Amino acid sequence: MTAVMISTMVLCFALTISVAVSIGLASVLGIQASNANMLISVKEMFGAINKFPLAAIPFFILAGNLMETGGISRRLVDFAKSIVGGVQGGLPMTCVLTCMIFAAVSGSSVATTFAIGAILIPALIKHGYPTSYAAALQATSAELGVIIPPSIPMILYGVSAEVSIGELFIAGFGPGILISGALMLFVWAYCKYKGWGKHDGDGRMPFGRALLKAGWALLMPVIILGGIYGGIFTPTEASAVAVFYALVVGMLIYREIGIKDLYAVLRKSALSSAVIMFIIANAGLFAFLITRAGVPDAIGHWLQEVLKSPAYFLLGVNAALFVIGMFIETSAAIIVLGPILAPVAAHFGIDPVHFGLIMVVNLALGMITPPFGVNLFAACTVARISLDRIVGHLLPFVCVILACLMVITYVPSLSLFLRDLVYAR
Amino acid sequence: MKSLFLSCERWSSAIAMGGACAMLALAATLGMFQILMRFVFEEPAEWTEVLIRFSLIWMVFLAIPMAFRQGAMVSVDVLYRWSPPRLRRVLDWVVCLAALALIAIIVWWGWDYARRGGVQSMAGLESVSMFWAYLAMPVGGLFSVLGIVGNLIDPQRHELETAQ
Repeated sequence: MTAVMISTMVLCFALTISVAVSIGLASVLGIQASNANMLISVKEMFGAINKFPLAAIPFFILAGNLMETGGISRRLVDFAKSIVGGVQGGLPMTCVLTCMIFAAVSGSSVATTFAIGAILIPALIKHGYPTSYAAALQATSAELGVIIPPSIPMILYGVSAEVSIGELFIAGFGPGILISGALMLFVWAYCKYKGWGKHDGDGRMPFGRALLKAGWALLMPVIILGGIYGGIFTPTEASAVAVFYALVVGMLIYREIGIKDLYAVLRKSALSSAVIMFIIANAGLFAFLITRAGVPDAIGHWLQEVLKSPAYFLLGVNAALFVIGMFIETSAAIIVLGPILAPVAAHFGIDPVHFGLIMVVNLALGMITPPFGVNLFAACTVARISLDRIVGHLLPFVCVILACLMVITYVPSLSLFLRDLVYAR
Repeated sequence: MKSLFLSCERWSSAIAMGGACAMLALAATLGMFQILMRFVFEEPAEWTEVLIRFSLIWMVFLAIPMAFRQGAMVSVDVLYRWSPPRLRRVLDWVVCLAALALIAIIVWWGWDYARRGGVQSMAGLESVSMFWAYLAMPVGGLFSVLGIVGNLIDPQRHELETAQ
């Protein structure tokens, strides 16, 4: 039955049938093959999305879209520029820093690419950077959107592998700061070497004024994360607070969202959320069936025999996820693989929170690796260039992230230090 | 015939989508209300969580018709981008039939499940029957049929806009 399910799923993927439908059909065939009652299909689908923590996904998507429409991104760009924009190569560094801050209000990389790229890619081109470099830089920096909390893939991992979302969020800071730091250092050195961006500091706002203008936007991560770790509300409730904060700032303070925009924002958010949650529904059914057949345990035992030590296991998982990430979208990969791999990682004595971070960072890398990389598509759309032109400039960025991934994998304390500090008791 | 179907489908998908937006707005409002109840009035309401879950499930099933219609469902489209136009048309048909097969299961068994669930009441909101929560599946499924066929007749690909 398991063989039927997995081969059907892979075949459907290859035929460009959408991920949700592929997983659903494979499960339906699995039920048929094992002569079980078909009522299981709808029961498990419903059960998989009937979970309160999942409400954070539509809410964070809605909050992110409200912030994007509400003119937050432009103010954050000015703010980041006032900090790092003064040196040679300051504009690419601004891009990384803005993405890092925007990541703390949004849980999505694609939204980050569109919101920040729309402003910074044209600015980079105007300052003489090659278009393909600007697009590659933007696609890579936007990855931070899912690594720095709040993060939709982390919520998905938390729900599917039954790990605390609060702990995952706080564990994202170390890796997020590491990656931003490494990227900023890299673009700075690269610009020096290439001689680009000697006039990046032109038209920069003084720090104080930029801070004042971006203040309302910068307060949002403080409220959300402060609320979660201060024990005032759960991550799910924090997402509802984020929606109303973004709404109030966008409509009443910045006054850039009108009633007409509201329906468009709701519509876009409902659509994005439904696509993810429909995958979750089908993947829930799939996971139920393969767990009942004992597959995760079997894979676990097999992996334990083949890869004898945790270090080899992590290397193997990273290599596999890197390849999977090239073809499959991050959220879908996490929903399907999280429940299978997390128990195996636990067998090896790896902290499930640390393992979640490895999965998220690795699969986020999949967003910038062709042929299927959503950030690449988004950045190319904004920069109006074709996918093949971006690849050359992309390679060094991929190497930087890979190096960071290795550090994150083999230095668990980088992710777990803050978690242990906050959740010590 | 084609244009008549497409204009009917435009209406049905738009109605379903409107419902989905209303459900999202309702869920977000209830989320805020839940926090207010707990902090301001110090009276935690049990039923908000139940209603948030079920309104989001309705949102999912009412928004997937439009997701199918616009080709917004996430897929691995390597083969599609590398194939000539004629093969693409074949793939369109395969994708359409696969989606219809899954939706048929959801409509048929979802309705069966909803009818059986009629005797249960919602935990935390006892006066309401679970029928109304399960009903999202067959209703969303029926709207989806129109969306899926609509996309076959007039293909669109808006996958990027919904990716995370």
